[in-house]
Amino acid sequence: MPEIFDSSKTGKPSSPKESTPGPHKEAEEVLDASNAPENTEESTPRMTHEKRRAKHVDEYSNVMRHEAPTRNVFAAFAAKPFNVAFEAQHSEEQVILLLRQHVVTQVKYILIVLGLLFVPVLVSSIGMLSFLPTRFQFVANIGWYLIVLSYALEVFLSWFYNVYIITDERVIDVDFNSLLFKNVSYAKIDNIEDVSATTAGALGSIFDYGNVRIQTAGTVTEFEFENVPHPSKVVSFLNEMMIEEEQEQLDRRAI
Amino acid sequence: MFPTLSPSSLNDILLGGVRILFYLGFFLYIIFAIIALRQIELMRKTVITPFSGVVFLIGLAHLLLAIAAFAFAFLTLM
Repeated sequence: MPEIFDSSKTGKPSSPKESTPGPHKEAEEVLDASNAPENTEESTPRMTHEKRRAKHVDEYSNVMRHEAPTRNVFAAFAAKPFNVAFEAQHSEEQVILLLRQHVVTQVKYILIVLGLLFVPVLVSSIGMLSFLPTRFQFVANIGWYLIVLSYALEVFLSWFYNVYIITDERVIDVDFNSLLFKNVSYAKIDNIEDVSATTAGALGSIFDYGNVRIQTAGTVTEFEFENVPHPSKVVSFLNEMMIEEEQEQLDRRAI
Repeated sequence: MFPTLSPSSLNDILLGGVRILFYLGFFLYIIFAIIALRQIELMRKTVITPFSGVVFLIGLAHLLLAIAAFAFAFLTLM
C-alpha cells in the first residue's frame, strides 16, 4: 500500500468509515465532504482521504502519471482501466494496469481463419466430395464453417481472457490457454524480487512488445507476461511499485 | 441363400453411415458449445470487464447456432 494511504501522516485520527470504504461508500463520503462545513473535525480528513485515493497512483508512479485512463475494452495496454475487476479482488484494491498480448501477435490467427474459410471452395473445385449428393455436401460445408467459427471463438477468448493484471497490492496472471484450461496466479508486490523485459524479433521491435519476466519469493516463483505492449514501461512501473512498497514497510517499522 | 447387395442398396448403406456421422458430429458440436458457454461464464466471473456481458451473449448465440445447425442437418438429411 502506498505511503499516501498512511493515515498517521495526516496527523489526525482515522474514522472507522475511512478504514473500509467500498466504491459506493467513497462516493457518499465525497458528497458528505463537499456538503459539510470546511473546518469541522470530520470533514477535513474525509476529503483528504478521498483526494489521496483518487490520485494515489499518479502520486508515486511517474509512468502512470503520463497515462490516460483507458475505456477501450480491447486495449492490450490498459492503464487505469474503467470498470475492470477480478474474482479475488480486495475491497480497496485498485486495478492499475491490465495487459494482454499485443494485437499484432494475433494476426497469424486471423490469417489462419481466413484461410480455413476458403477450404470448402478448394474441396469443391477438386471434387473431393462429389461422390456425395448435393444436400450432403451442403451440410458438410455448414459443419466446416461451424468448426472454423469455434476456432475463431476460442482464439478470441484465449486472447481476451488471457490477461495480466497489476493492482496496487498484487500481480495477477490469468491463463486461459484453451476452453478446457484455466489458471490464475497471484503474487504480492512485496514478494517480487526481480523484473526483466525482453523484446525480440523484428515485429517486437517495430510494434514495441515483448515479454516481462517477474521473479517472486512466493509459491509461484516466476511470472511471465508474454508479448505485452511496452515491456520497458511495465518494468519501470513495477520498479516504482516495489520502491513504494519498500518505503511503506520502512514507514511502518518507523512507527 | 445369402442376400445380394445391389449397387443402389450399397449406396444407401454408405449414405446412411455418412448421415449418422453427420448427426454425431453436430451433436458433439452442441456439447462443445455448451462447454464453451460454461467456460465463458466462469471467465466472466474471473475477469470482470464491461464487455463480459457481450462475450456471454456471443457464447449463447454460438450454442443456439449449433442447435440450429443440428436441426437443419437432421431435417435436410432425413
